[in-house]
Amino acid sequence: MENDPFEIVDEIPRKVMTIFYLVDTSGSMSGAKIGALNTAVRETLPIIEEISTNNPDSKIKIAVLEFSSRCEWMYPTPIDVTSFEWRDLQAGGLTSLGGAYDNLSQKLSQSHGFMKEATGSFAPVIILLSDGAPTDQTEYALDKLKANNWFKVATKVAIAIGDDCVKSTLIDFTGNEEAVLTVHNVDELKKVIRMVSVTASRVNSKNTSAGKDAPDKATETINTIQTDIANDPTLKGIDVGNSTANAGTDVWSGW
Amino acid sequence: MAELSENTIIELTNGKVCQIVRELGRGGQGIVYLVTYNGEQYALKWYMQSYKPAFYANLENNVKTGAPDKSFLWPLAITKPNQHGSFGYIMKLRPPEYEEVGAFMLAKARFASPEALIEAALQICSAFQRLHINGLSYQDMNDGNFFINPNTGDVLICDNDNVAPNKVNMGIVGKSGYMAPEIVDKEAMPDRYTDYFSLGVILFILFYLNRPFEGRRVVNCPCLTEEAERKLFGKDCVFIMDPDNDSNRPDPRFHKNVMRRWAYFPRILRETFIKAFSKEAIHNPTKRIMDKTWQQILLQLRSQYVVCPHCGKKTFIDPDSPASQCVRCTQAIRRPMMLKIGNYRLPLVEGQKIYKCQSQASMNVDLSKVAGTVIRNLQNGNLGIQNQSGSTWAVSLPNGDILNIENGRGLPIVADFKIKFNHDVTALITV
Repeated sequence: MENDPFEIVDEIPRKVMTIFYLVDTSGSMSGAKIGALNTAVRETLPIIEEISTNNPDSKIKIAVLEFSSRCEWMYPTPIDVTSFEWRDLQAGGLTSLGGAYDNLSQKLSQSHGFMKEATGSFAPVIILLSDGAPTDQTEYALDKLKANNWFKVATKVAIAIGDDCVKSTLIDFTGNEEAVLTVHNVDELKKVIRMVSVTASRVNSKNTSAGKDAPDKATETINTIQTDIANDPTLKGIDVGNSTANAGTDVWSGW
Repeated sequence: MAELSENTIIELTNGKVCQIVRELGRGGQGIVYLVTYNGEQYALKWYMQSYKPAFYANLENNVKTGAPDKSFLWPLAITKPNQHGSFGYIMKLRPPEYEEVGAFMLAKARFASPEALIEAALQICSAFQRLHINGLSYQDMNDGNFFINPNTGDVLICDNDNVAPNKVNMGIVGKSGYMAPEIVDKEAMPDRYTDYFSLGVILFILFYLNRPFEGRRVVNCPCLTEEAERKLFGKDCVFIMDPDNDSNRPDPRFHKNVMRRWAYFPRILRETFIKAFSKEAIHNPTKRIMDKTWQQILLQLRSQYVVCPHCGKKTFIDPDSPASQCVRCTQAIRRPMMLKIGNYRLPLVEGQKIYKCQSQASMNVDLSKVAGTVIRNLQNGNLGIQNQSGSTWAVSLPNGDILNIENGRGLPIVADFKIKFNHDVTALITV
């Protein structure tokens, strides 16, 4: 009966949680690395979609920024994961990480960026993937980024793809050594992209944990990632933070 | 700690074993597997994080004491410690027709009727009432812990590994927006009073399909950070329907369900939520609405959902109002005669049921067990109450006469008749 209020139900309003992927698409990423990355994100998106679809707290959006000689967003705004289509990234050119930081700073804004949501947002997740050293100035851009309030509260994780990556740059970005994970082959790269994306989605798309010993979301995400790495024998080759236990084991061919 | 592969055999402390069939799902704490145990299929919750020995001991103890109520998907058996680096417990499987509270919030599941909704609320309150009288508290109530059958209102409560004696926390943390403000503010440990707060939140969500503390203040918050959540869900939280503070009212663009339903459900429900989430109850845990009080309110509510004499559809009526409007046909329904039993006032309309819990003034009975029904006398067309209680009622008439109404017999509905249900409970028929 149309005049019975019991029969009419709307979906509860949800916050938006945006996952930013900052992807190095410089020349050294070409071949196995970018191929594995494209595959891994494609395979991970349906899992994130499921986390978002059944989540009464928030829905998840995806934003992708690729940086090489120049920076480019895959789409002009973050897109709901349920309708997001991953376009395979191609590699070539330099590593303008400073430029990527600038672009991210601009978009981490409610008034003239990506963060304008009618029902508000949760703190975003920012995942940086890189295999080398920046070829532009990052210092000034990173200082500006670190002053951004969205960036301050974001959960930040960096994935260093191989030994050539300058880890200290990534640690500067995350502000937390334990949030930098170094992988040495395509299999690890794919697994870590999936694991970090899924864990970060699960933790950051929910209301905060409450209680005396409750960790904040960034800590909870990083702790869970550490536990996952410790629990999974196939992730033993991943180095956390400044650890160089698996340095020299890079294999990026034969994919 | 390792994930378990198919066919792995895990030993239990009761001397039996279970065998892994496949993964059913995973969450922050661990993985749930489908297993065979005792020749049947069960679920095994397997921890992928490390816990203190006290956590295992508490779980072991919960297995020993058994479920306080049939609604709990209680730990039935615990694995021996340190197999594949971890441990877990066995519980019953959730049948597929049960939906998470989140599915109701996302409008993917709907209660078939207000009766089913009230039944679900009653089962939740009864389960926690039994848990609490055993000196235990649940500690982490949120939308992920309840599975509800939308057609019948039957409830299953999972994640019972957090259940522990009051003020003893096993390291499980709750979820802001559901936890009591003093927990969000990191000032207190969980106990039954913090459970009462969370119970109110869950009930509010089930009835009004919006969150009780999420109004304008929350949607206008551009980024709901940890700090913001503490402010909005800690002691400064404001109930969206607080009559004395309109700073956090529902936003008509987003909180449509509560705006539609606030007036739809009877006044008694509104008044109880206003009390449950008053400033006083937010700050003083002893002022919160206890599960037993909720049971009484819900039983009263159940009896106010009656058949409209004009259109034959069901609608809520207000026993305090001379007339109520039918939500379906919009016609006025004059206040019927009432049966007053203790605090209950049952509108005596055709089909109304008097429940055993009301006639015996006891919550320790099946709350859906009927003791009497209002029926129409086919000979004279008048309404009467049929005794279905299994025992004889003594009815005192205004002139002092006493009628014995045996099981199966009926009495006419006449003002000032008194029905003695048992030694302690007498009801009065009023105009």
